[in-house]
Amino acid sequence: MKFPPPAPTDDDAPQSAERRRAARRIALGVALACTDLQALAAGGPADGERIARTFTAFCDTLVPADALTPSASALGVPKAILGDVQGNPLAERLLVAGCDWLDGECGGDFAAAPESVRHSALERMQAMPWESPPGRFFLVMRNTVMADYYVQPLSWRGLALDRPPQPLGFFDAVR
Amino acid sequence: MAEGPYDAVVVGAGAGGAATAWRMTERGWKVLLLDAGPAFDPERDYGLDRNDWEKQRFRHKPGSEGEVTFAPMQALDPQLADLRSWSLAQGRTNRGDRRVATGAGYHHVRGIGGSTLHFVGEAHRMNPAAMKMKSRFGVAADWPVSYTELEPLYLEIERLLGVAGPAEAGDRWRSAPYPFAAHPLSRASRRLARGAAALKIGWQPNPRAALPVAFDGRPPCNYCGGCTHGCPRRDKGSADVTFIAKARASGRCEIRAEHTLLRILGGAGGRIEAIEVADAAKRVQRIATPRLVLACGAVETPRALLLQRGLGGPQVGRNFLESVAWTSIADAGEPLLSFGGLPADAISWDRNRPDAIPGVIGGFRLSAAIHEADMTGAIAHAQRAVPGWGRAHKEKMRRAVGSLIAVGAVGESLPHEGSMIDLDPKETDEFGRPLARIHSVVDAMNVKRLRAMAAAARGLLRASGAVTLVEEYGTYDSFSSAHVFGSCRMGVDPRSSVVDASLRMHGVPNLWICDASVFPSSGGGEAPSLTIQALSLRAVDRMT
Repeated sequence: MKFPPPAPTDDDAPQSAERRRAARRIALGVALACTDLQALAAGGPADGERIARTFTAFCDTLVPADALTPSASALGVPKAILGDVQGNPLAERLLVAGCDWLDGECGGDFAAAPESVRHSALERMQAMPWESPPGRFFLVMRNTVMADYYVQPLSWRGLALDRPPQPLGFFDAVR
Repeated sequence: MAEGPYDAVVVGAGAGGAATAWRMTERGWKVLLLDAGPAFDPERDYGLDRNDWEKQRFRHKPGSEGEVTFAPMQALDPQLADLRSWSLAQGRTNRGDRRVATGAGYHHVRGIGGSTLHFVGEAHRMNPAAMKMKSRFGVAADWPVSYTELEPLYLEIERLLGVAGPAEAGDRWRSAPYPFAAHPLSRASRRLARGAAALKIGWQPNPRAALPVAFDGRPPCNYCGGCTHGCPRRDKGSADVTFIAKARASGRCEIRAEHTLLRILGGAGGRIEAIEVADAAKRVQRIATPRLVLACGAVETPRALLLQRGLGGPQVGRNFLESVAWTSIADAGEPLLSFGGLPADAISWDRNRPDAIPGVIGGFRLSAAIHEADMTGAIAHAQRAVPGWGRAHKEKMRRAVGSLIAVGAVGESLPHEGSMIDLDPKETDEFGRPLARIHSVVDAMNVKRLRAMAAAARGLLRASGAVTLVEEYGTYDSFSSAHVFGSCRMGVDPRSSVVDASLRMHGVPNLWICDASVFPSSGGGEAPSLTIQALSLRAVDRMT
């Protein structure tokens, strides 16, 4: 039996039992257990409203509405992730670092930027090294947003797989 | 339900323990079957009918994963970049420069039914050609049991499980056909069959412990593709719905979940007298038994013995063998409903013999692998296979879901002096006992075999017309094993093995080991459960 890889990790991934237990408790996964993020300065109190607005725009840039399916925010994705992040200092720091970076790239307000500018910012963010907070933010949050969006049936319209595997199974697949 | 005193106590309710307990009840014995993990209810616990079915591959319960640690693994060679794991959407999945255990690393289920609860259900017999690795190639050890001895037991188990398989026996001669004709191949596997035909390699139905028709009170498979999530219908032949159900029905088997083996207590004449177990509330109980069977797998069985300070001798924990695997996933460019069908429904045994790869000792098999790769639902596609974002990403998703195909290769794992199980010097479980620590080394021969496996997987996809690879992963840069073996080797010489050919521990007249830790060699990618069960039945038949 061949198991797929989990989200990207590095050789700092926790190998000890205690660190593996801790990583499992972190909603955003093993990918956060990286030393450079732990070393990120906690900084002053973040502007919660701005962070929420930027993060919501980030989610909707990743997953906008189209003719068939709603946007990430219409399905409550950013709100749920922001809720999960609360109380997890490492994830909170990553969130703030990522949103600060996005705002900085877009003249101070990612959410207000035109779509093409937001897309360019994501291109640059995706190209950032994995070790950097913006690079780590992009990969971890993209994975989280996609999981929280595509778990919802309203996102399945237009896909060949538009229901859970049971109870009907997929007889068509063997015909 | 049976109550003590017992004729035997079996610790571990996976493939081996379940078969062992059932066979004992057939002999009329009263058996206690214990497992440290919980019991699962197929209808309630697996969640394949839920909208969030994809968020967890197998819905573990508290206590259903044992804790292990990993010793630091080797530095990765920059020259072997072609064996690094990657995906189109995420890039390299191990970004470091050392091999690591990613995710759980050792993928298993602790509980009633053990890892058969999340297994695919491949019902493989060992290739007889892979059972004499020492005498033929000077590596690993020879099996002290022959295929000829196992054949009738294989057949008996196939009949009990309701295995569906092909008419062609290949290297594994059969005294009778499979109980059921093979399942129909999925559209995706038929597409791969075109590639296999172009390459002139075999591509046949894989023997599967999943029912094509109703049998023994269980319904037929409905091709949901979710075997690794746990089968809610009970058509997959996991140990809980087959051996354990029958053992329970006999009235002679008491089954206790969430009971952890703490100590093995010796008595006169080198015999085992009793065990101490703790229940979920950590109440400790002493259970006397005239026969003790350990069936905890190739990580926990050696740990249980190492905790006994010397029980089983110096070979315990050595010769640890792991899964050697490679998977390539590609876009077939046409809708194939590849999320459906029976996982691993087709297989190529062409390079399974240990001398099948020029210059390499130990073979491998290829099989359809999209389900085992967990590349079936929208989440996996979005996270791993379909890069980007925005409306274009949504359009690509609509083309991709159901159109990806995968080829997996699983190969021989050979012993290495650095691959072993020992006790972690620092970390302990809830009872304060050291955890098992896994040491694993990928050596040069392993790398050569992995290279051949990756080339074969890519070649089959290419020949099938799937040109764009979207993800590849293998065991060069990560430890990722569901099948582990060898750490309590079976053999005739107590100096180089732990148990004899009847799985009885050398020097201990009433202690047996019935799991894959006894395998002298791993085989060239065969799934082990059928062989574990055949060895277990044989052991019980020889017990006095």
